[in-house]
Amino acid sequence: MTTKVLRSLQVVKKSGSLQCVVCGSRRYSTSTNAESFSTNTSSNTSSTSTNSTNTSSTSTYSRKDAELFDIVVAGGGMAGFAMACSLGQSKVLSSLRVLVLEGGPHTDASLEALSAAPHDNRVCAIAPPSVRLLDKLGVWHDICGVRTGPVKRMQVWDSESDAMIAFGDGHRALAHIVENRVTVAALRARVPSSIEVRYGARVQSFDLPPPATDGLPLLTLRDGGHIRARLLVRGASVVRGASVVRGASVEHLEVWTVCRGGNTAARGTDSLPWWQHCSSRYGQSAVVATLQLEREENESNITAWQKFLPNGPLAILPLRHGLSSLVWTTAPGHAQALLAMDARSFADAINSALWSNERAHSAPWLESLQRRGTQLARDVGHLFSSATAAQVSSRLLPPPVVGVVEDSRASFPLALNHAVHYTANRVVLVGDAAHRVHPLAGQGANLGFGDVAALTTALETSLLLGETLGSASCLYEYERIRQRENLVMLAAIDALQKLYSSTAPPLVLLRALGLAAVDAIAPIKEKIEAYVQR
Amino acid sequence: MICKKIMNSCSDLISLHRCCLKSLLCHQSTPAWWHVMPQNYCTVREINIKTETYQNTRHKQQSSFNDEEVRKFGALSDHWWARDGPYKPLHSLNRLRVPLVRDGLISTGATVSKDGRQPLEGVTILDVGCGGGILSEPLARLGASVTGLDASHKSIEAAQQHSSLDADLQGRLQYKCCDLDTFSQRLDQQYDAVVASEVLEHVDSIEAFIESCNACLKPSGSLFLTTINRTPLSFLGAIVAAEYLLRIVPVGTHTWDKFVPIEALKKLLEERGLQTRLQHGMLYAPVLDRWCWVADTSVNYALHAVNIAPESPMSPESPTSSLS
Repeated sequence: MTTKVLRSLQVVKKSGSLQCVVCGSRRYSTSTNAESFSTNTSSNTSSTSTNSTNTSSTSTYSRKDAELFDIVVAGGGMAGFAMACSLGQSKVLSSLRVLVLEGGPHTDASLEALSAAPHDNRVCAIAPPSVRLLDKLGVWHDICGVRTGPVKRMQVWDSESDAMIAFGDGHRALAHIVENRVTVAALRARVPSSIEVRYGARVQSFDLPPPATDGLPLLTLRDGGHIRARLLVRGASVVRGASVVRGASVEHLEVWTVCRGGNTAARGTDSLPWWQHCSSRYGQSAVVATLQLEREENESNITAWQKFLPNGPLAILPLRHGLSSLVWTTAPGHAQALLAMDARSFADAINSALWSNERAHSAPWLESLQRRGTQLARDVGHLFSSATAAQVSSRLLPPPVVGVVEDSRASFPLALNHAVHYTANRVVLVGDAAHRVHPLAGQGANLGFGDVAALTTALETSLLLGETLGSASCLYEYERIRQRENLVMLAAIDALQKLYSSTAPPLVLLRALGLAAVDAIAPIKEKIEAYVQR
Repeated sequence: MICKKIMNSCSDLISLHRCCLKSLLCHQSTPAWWHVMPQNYCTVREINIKTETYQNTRHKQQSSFNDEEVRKFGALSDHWWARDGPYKPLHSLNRLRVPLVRDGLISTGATVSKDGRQPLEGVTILDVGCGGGILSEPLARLGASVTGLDASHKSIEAAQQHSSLDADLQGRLQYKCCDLDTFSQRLDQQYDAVVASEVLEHVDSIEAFIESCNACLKPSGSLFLTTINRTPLSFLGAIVAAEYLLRIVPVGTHTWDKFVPIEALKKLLEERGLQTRLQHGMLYAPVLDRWCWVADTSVNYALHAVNIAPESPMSPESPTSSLS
């Protein structure tokens, strides 16, 4: 019910046509077939035939030459391979026939080779719940054997005010920064041999059965093969238009995404429920790079720094001693300029952005109000803890950037994307296919891993209840649980992004006081830390 | 249409209220609630006489089979598998009763399957009053060999037609159109478990029903029952709220007099050599369409009993206990 209420509050943009991101072909199951199916969905008991060929004479998903699998995971990547590992490891689900379709080529890069290679510029912050899942899959040990950058302290501050917040005591890891290709390689290596993985498999079209019918999804590959699946799981998605500059890697994933625009009249919600996405573009691009930091003798690189600038947040995430990853969200024009600079100027630009005290609006009254507000927040914070134990976060300065690793700069556009329905008849979305978030909180991959864990649990419970694989009640249960969590996170991240994208004094004051309050009042901070660690 | 429903509910409530007042004014300490419809309205004295006669009749009847109940379910046979049809609560009840049967059989050691996906491999189950096969199919998918039994031809046809759509069920699930008494007399095998879910409240003779179920059970076999208790709360919940106010089930589905008090049932089972291992209440949330386990057994309850008697069930001449 919560899902229904939340869904009704979403602003839904009905998509026009559907276009393949790779081959550009427009194809979808069958707006024409949808009408012809509707007359057959009314009663199951009237039909005497046992197979789906009876539902429509034009049905393409009753092909006899199609290979039949229990579960097909369309799209590799972190979510797809994590799903495969999870299925292979589950006692209940391991006897199912599973196929993973990965569009990219098979790489022979072993984990040892990756540990010797330079750091990649696409990284993710793996939070403790995801660490637990990866540990359960037996993958975390492999990843730690390659390299991870533990984040033991995090400092977030605002360029428009003096407010700041710091998490972590410097001992316990709040998150781990891991390169995406290391995670994917480790997951690939742990996929059991009973699960078939096909590389270079490009899906030309999906033919999906209309709601409340007994058909099975049919995938047509570019090489002409046909695959039928009792349950189709869609993993990560690739956004069209990702600009790649100077050698940054892009995952070769093959999944459909919705293109807005087109002149096709919007279809009714019943026939194409799961193509509806709630989405908005932020008008920002993210610049990623691998930075060389000044090495300090006594201090190890365990702090994640994030500064909210007027154009967007600048984050520096630790990889190892003297090396960090940059994620700088800024206006597209500025992003292009940054990519065009030479390495020296790029490093200077980062340093000046981090160290500068310039403000868009500065007024004495504003600053005195902020100071008073911060002091008030600290006084309130004292109430919740004893005077001697009251810890006010000390403000540290980030180490200066001395260089940029060659060929590590790249940029990609940012958008918020959330599928209104995560499930349809025999189809389920996990990971980036269901949601894309702003990187300011580093939660994108973690939400995907949460989806994988929840889907595995839902499938296990459903099979142990004797339901058919991919039954509507099982998928609805997954959708209900995940949307409840994901929507909260998405809304919070979006609200933060909107709050920090403005330089108007009232908003600056509000967010400064809010940040100071959260930093000073220990119970709130503990709740946030507990939520992230859950 | 909503107004009409409200009007209907109000008029039924008024007639119920009238019956209530009348019984209170006549100083009846335990008013015998009758099936409350405006045309059935009658004085309390008449109610008491009718109840006595009815109970005596029910008590003496040897058959558990009731033509009218069978016809009632036969009329709705097209809707067994409709997603939002009248049997929607039975579909969602599977979340409770499938684990009840599955875990009950695992705990009694009836199954030694190591297969994670088919924990009931090698177990034979008789589903009495299977209807459209809502419970039979999941149990068959868990590996059990299930025989679904129902006296309604139309229900069995609907069950067979639906089960033929799933290839996994072939060879594990069979249906028989027969009443339980006849079936138990012509048994060719005994079963590891007998399941009678939402059936007891529709039979005429509980004793005959339990005897027939017991005859079908192997020694140390399990009997799983889910039914409705006979309490004032169950009248309010299962009749007034479920049938008249919320219209969860069609009006006339249940008759309060046929509800089975749990203590009397347990006593009856014990006399037949069936030891109760588990009893638990169940609660339905209509808007969410979810069932959950609750400690209170006043309305819906589930029971797991195990046949511990060394010999076959008792003969018809032995004394039977009263359920009133």
